[in-house]
Amino acid sequence: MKGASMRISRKIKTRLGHLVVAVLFVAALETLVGSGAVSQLVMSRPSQIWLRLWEDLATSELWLSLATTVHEVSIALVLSLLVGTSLGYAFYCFRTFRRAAEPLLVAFYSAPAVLLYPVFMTLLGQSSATVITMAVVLGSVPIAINVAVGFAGIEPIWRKVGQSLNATPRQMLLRIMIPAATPVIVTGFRLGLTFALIGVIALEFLTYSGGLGRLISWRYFIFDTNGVYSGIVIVAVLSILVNSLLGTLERKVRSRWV
Amino acid sequence: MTAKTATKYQVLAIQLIVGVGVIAFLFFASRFNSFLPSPIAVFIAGGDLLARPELYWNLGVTLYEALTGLLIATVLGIGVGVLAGANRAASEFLSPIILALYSVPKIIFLPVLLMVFGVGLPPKIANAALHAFFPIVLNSMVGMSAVNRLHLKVARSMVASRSQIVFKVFLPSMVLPVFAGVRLGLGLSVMGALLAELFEAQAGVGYLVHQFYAKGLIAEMIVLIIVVFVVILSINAGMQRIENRLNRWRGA
Repeated sequence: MKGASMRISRKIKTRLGHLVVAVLFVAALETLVGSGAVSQLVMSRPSQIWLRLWEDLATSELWLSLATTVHEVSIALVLSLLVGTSLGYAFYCFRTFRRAAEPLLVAFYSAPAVLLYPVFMTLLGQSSATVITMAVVLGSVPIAINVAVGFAGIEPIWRKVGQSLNATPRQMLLRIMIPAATPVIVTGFRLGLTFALIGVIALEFLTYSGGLGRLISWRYFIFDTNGVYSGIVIVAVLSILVNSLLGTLERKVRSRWV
Repeated sequence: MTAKTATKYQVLAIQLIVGVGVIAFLFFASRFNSFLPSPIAVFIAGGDLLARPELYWNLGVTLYEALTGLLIATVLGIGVGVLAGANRAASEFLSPIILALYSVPKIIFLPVLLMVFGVGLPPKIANAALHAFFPIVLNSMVGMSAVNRLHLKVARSMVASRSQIVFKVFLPSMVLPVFAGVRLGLGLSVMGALLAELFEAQAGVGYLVHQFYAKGLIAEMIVLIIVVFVVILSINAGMQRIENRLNRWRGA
């Protein structure tokens, strides 16, 4: 019993620590900006941000942007799952293909992928289609990698069990391979969603094609500092919420699936 | 020919096929869409661009921003990572914060960086550092906690001083994960620099891409993408070589 209570108190201490630091941080910002030490053009007072946040939540502008972003992320996620899973399965089946594609993907993924967006803009215009396409490009890669690693990391004994039971290829896939690889694949799905969300927001930000990203960059251009920070808070909270929800789901799947 | 060299050739062959495939795709796509240039046009534009200094100058600016940002991110990342990983309470405190921030699209902080650092190079460097910081700090923290307990016990049994333990046990075991983190950070730092340039810039590859797009010079734009791709591929390959050598030195 003593161990359990020590663990709980440690968790509470960490949470309290976070709360204290957050309060101190906000208070410091409030005094620094309020007293004029930090210019109001650079940083808004947290109290102003808070007020603006509530104002925003009451307007339709925010909810429309949120709806656009959610719509784009959902489509991007579904497409990333399709593309990523197929690519990952191809990586698993053809090991040389994976070895050939890996350095290309790593080099392409970080920087040049971003530069592709004008090409997509040329083809698809300044629309949701461009945003979704880029987000699919960004989101399918972690899914593909995790599907490949997940399948490759299955204990050989499971496959031997399937063989000894004369399982058909379809049975092997459905009843042995997929369940065995699920924990790693689920992590891949979560990463895919994270990167798809990052891709959507970044593209909206750069191409002004609607959604929360466009909201923030527009407000920057019209010098609406309060609005910029309010938007940042909304996007940050949204991503953290989505990510922690998925993280909990992922942990549940992993613990139950062993 | 050993099995190893055979697969090496296979790998190269597949990469070549992928390259040819991309060119073929572009060839067909340009037939249908009047905005996309044919591979021949891209080739000609490439020859033209590579001959002029404009490309190299802007590439240099972007690389300077990215590498400076990477340097800052490495110093900060290792510093924070070591501090966080050393103390159990500190790592429990900092881990959730860092992991939460990892999933946030860091581009939304770009307006903040622009407001704080103004215009010109500093916000690009800051954005590059911001993007590269996270893999480095995460890997440093993991590296700290993954130090071999046995090594620590041996050191303590030999009555090693604090600094000796730091330099002879911690540092060598951290080299690998930190280096892997820096390699990840490299790509992200270039991405950060490019993103900042695409948004607002007077120089650099992102600025050039924007200029080409605005003038409708799509072929030149594609050449730029290829150049960036090749540059990152080379740097990455170089770092991979160093990482392999470090792996062997560690006796892993």
